[in-house]
Amino acid sequence: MTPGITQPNTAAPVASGDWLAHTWRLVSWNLRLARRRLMGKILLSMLVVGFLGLVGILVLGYEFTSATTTSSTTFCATPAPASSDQPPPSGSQPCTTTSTTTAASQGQQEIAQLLTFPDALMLAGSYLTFMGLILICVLAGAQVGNEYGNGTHRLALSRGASRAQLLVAQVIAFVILALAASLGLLILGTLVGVSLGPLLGGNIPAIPADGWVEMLGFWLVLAFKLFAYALIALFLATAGRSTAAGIAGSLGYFLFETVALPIIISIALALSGLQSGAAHIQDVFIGPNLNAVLAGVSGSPLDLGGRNAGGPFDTIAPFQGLVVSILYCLAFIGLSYWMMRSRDVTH
Amino acid sequence: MEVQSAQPVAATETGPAPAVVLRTEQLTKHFGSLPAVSNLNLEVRRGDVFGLLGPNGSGKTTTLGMILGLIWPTAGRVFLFGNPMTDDRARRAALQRIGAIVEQPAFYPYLTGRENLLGVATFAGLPTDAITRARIDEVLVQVGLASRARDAYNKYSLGMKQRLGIAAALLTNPELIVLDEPTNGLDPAGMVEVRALIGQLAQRGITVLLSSHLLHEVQQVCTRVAILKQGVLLAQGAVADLLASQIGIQLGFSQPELLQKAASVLQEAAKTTAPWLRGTRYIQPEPGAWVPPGGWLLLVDAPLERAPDINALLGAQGVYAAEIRRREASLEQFFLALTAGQPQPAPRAPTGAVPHIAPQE
Repeated sequence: MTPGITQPNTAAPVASGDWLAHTWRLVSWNLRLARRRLMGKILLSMLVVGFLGLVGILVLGYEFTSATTTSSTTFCATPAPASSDQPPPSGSQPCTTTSTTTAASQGQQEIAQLLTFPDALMLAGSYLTFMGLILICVLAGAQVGNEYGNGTHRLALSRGASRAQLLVAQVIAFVILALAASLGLLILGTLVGVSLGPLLGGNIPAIPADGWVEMLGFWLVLAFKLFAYALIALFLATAGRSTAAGIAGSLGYFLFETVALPIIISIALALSGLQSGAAHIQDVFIGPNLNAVLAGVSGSPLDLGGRNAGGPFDTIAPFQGLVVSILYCLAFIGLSYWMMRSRDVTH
Repeated sequence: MEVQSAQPVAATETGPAPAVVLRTEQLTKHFGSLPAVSNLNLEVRRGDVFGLLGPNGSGKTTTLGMILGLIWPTAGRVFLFGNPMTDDRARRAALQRIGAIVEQPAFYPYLTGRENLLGVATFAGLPTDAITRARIDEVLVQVGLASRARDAYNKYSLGMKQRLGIAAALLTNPELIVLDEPTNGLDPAGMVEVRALIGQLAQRGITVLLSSHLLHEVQQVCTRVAILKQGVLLAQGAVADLLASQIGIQLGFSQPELLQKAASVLQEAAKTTAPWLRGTRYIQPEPGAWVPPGGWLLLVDAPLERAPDINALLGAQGVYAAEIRRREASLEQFFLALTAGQPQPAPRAPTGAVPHIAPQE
C-alpha cells in the first residue's frame, strides 16, 4: 500500500494564522457540506418542486373555476338569451348563470393576481414561512447533528479549529443559506409573477420606490425567520449531540407554534374573555415575534406580508418582535457556545 | 538507565535535554468522581516514536484527548512545542503543527477520500489552493489510496478508512503525529505496512506519539514508552532501558525439588562467593516461549557472562539444570509485570516459599 513516506515533493502548504481567514474557510466548508449532502439536494428539490406544485395547484384551481362556470349554465331556469346584448325577456326568472359567472371570474381574477408580480412574492413568502422553515430545520439539524454522529467535530477540533470558530462558521453558513433560500424562492416567485400571472390575466402594477424597499425588507425578514429556526435546530442538535434532537426538536417546536399555540390561546381567550390578555401568551414565543416583524416590514405599499403575517392575534409591535427575536437568536448562539465550550469531546 | 517512575520527568533526566515536543505536568482528569488520569507527567522528545501503553480503560485515549484539546483536564497542564495550552490561540497554533487520529478515523461518509482530506486541510487552516490539492494527491499516493480517491468514504473498507486517517495525519507535514490505536481494523499485512510507515516517519525526523495495547507492535516501532494503568503512570523511558531490567539467565529444571535446591545454592553463594548474583525468582513459562523439560524455570538476575560460573556453582552441589538460556525480555513481560504484578507460581509449584534472593545494594 505504502510507496513510502518521503519529503513532500510539493511545496508544503502553510496554515493560516489569521482567525478570520480560517473561519471564513470553515464557512465555505459548511456550505460545501450542505451542497454535497444528499439531503441538501433533496431538500432544495423539495423546496423548488413544492413551490412549483403549489403554483400548479393554483393554475388547476383557475382552470377548474373556469370549467365550473361553463357547466353551471345548464342549470339556468330560463333559457339564456342568444346574445348577451339582448335583454332578458320580461317576466322571466333571473338567470343564475350570471351570478355564478361573476363569482367564478372573481375567483379566477384573485388566482391570476396571486400568481402575478408582486403578489406572487407574497405567495412565495407564505410558502417559505411554512415549507421553507420545515426544510431548513431538517437541514440545520442534520448539518450540526451529523458532526457529532460522524465524529467529524472531533476531527475538526483536533486539527486546529477552535470551538468558537466551528460555531461561528455554522452560524454564518446558516445566514447565507437562509438568505440564498429566501432570495431563490422570491426570484422563482418573481419569474412566475411576470410570466404565468399575466398569461392568466393578472396585471403587473407600477411599483413605487418604497415598494422595492418593502420587497427588500420582506426578503431580509423571511431570511431572518429561516435563520432563527435554523438556530433552534443548531441549539437542539448541539444540546443533544445528534441529528435527531436537532430535527425533531425544532420541527416539534415549529408545529407547536403553528398548530398548538393558536389553539391554546383561543381556548384561553374563550375561557377568560377577549379582554383578559390571554393572547399575550404568544409574546414569549419566537415565531409570533418574527411574524410581527414580517407584518411590520411588509405591510405597505405592496402589502406582501401584512395581510396575515402577524397571525390571528395582533399583540406584538414590530420593534418589540425584532428585539425579542434577536434576543432569542443570541441566546441560542450563546447557549450553544457554552455547551460546546464546557463539554469534553468524546465519542 | 533512563527508566523512570511516575515522578516528574525533568527531575530524573540527566545530560543535555533534547528539544521537547510534548510535555504534560501533573495532568489529571476525573469524569465525575471517577479518576481517568492522575498526575500524569509525560515527555515526548523531538524524533521519538513514543508509545503510550496500557490496558483498555487505562486512560490512553483520555490523555490524547487532553493533549489535543478535546477533553478539558481537571488539573495539570499540557505543553506543546514548549508553549502551554492555556487558550484557543495557543492551542490552534500548536494543533496546526500536529497530525492526529484519535479513536476511530472520523470522516464525512458521503464525501470522497479527496474531499475529506480537503476538509482536514480546511480544519487545519490551510488554503484550498493548488498547493494543498497537490499535497492531498501526494499523501493519497503515499497511503495507497490514489486509485480510490474519488470513491465515497462510506464505500471504503475498514483498512482503507484507517489509511485515509493516516493520510489525514500526514497532510499538513506535521512535526508531531498522534495515532490512537493506528492498526485497529487492519489485517496483518496492513499492520506491517503501518509499522513501516511509522518507521519512515521517524527516519524523516517526525515525532510520533502512538497509543496501543498491542505490545509487540509497540516494541517493534517505539523508541520510548510510557505505561499507564488506571490512569497512573507506572513507567516511562527508552524501550531498551526498560527491557534491560528484564534480561537475565534462565535455568530450566525437570523437577521442582531441583529448582528449590538450585535457588538455595545460589542464595548461599550470593552471600559468600558470588556477590554478582543479584537475585533469583521463579517464573512461569510464557505462552509460545521456550519451555524446559518439566517446565520449571528459575530466573537468575546476574550478568550474562556469569552463566558458566552459575553452572559450576550448581554442579559443585550436584544440581544440574536441564538447560541454561539467556532470557530475552519482551515489552509484554515487562508490561504484565508492571500492570498485573509479578507472575505467580504455577499451580504445580512446590509447597512453601520459592527461594528468592533480595537484590543486592
